[in-house]
Amino acid sequence: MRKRWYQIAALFVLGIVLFSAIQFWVLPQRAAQQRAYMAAQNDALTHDISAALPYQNLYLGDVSNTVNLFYHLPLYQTKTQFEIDSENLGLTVYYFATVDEIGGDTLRRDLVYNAAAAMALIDNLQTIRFELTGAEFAFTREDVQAALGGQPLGELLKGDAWRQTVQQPLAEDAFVNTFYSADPLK
Amino acid sequence: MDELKQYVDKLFARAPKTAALRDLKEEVYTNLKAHEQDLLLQGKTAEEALRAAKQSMPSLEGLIWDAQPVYYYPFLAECCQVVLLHALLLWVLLLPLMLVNTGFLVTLITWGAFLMAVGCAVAMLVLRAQDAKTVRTIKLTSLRRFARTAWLVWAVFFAVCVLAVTAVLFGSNVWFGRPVVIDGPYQFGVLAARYYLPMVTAVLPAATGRFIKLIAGHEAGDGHA
Repeated sequence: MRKRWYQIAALFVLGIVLFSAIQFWVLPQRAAQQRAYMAAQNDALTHDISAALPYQNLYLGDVSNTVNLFYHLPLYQTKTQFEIDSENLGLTVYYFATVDEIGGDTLRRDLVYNAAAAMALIDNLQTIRFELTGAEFAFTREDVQAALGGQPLGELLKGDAWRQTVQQPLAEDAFVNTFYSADPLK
Repeated sequence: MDELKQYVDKLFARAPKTAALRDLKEEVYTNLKAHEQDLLLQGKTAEEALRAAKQSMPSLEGLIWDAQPVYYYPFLAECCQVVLLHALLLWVLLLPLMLVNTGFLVTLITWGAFLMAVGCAVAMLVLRAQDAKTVRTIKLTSLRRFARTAWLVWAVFFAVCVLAVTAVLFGSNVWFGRPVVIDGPYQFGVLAARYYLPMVTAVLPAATGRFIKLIAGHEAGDGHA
C-alpha cells in the first residue's frame, strides 16, 4: 500500500507539472503566436497569401468560396456583406466602417491588395467594388493587371511573385496611388 | 518442473492469494500427487498416470470463487486507493490532449478522472475512520462479475467512440471515394488524439480487475468468519 502511495504522489506531481506547463506556458505562447499571426493577416504588408490559396476558384458564382476568401484577406475583422453581379462578373463588398475608422493609407493599401488577391484567385472576376460608409472604390481586372506588370494575375500566385510584385511594392504610397484616380472617390 | 504442480498453479492462477486458498491449493496438489503415485504403482505409464490424475479432478470453481471473510473497511480503502491511482494515471495520460483541443468530451473525461481521484482520496479518509476490525463476507464471484461488467461497459464505450470518430472523420471520404489527406504532424496529432481517448480509458476497468487480488491482504482469520 505504501508503494502505491509513492506512485500516486509521483503521478500527482507529474500531472500538476504537466498541467501547469501546458496551461501556463505552451497554450499562452501558442495563443500569442496565433494573435500575432491574425494581426499580420489583417495587414496587406504582412499577409500570408497561402492562407487564401484554398479559396482559388474558376467562378465568382461559388458564393461560399468567395465569402470565405474575404475572411482570409486583410480587413477580415470588419463586418462585411457581399453582392454578386453575375451578368457583369462583378463583386461588391460592403465594409461596415468609415475610412477614418480603418485609416486612410491602410485602407487604400488593403483594398488594392484584396482586389488583386480576389482577381488572382477567382478567374472570372472582372470588377470589384468596395463600399464603405461614405466612400466607394472600384477596380477592374484590366487596371489591376496593367499596374502589376501586365502578366495574368493568377501567375502572381506562383513562387515568390506575389510578395515581390504585389506585397512589397504596396509599402510605397506612390505605387498604391497608381491604382486610384486623382479623386479616390471614383 | 513437476507437471502436476504447473497444472494446479494454473487452476489457481487468477484466484486471490489468501491463506485459505493457499491451503486448498496445497491440499489439491497433495491429493493429485498421491493419486498419480497410486496409478504409477498400478503399472500405468507416467503420461497415463498424469492424465488420469488430472481427469479425476472435480471442478474447483465453487471452492475457489467462494465467499471470503475480509476486514471490510481496510479492504474498501485499498480498493479506493487502486482506483485513485488509476484515475490519476488516466488524468495524466489525457492532459496532453489539451494541446490539440479535441473538444468537450476530452475535457469532461480528463477532469472527470481528476475528480474521481479526489473523490477516492476523500472516500479513503472516511473509510479509514471506520472500525478496521469489522469483518464482512465478500463474494469473489460478485467481484469478478463487477470487473467483467466494467470491461464490458468499456468495450461498448470504446466501440461506439471508435465507430463515431471514424464515421465523422472518414465517412464522406469512404462515401465519395475521396482519398484521406493529412496535412501535417499537427493534423495527424488531432486525428490520433480522437482514437487515443477511448483507448486510454481502459485504465479504469483495469483498476476493477485488481480488487480480487487485494482480498489476500485483508483476509480475516477463522475466528471472525
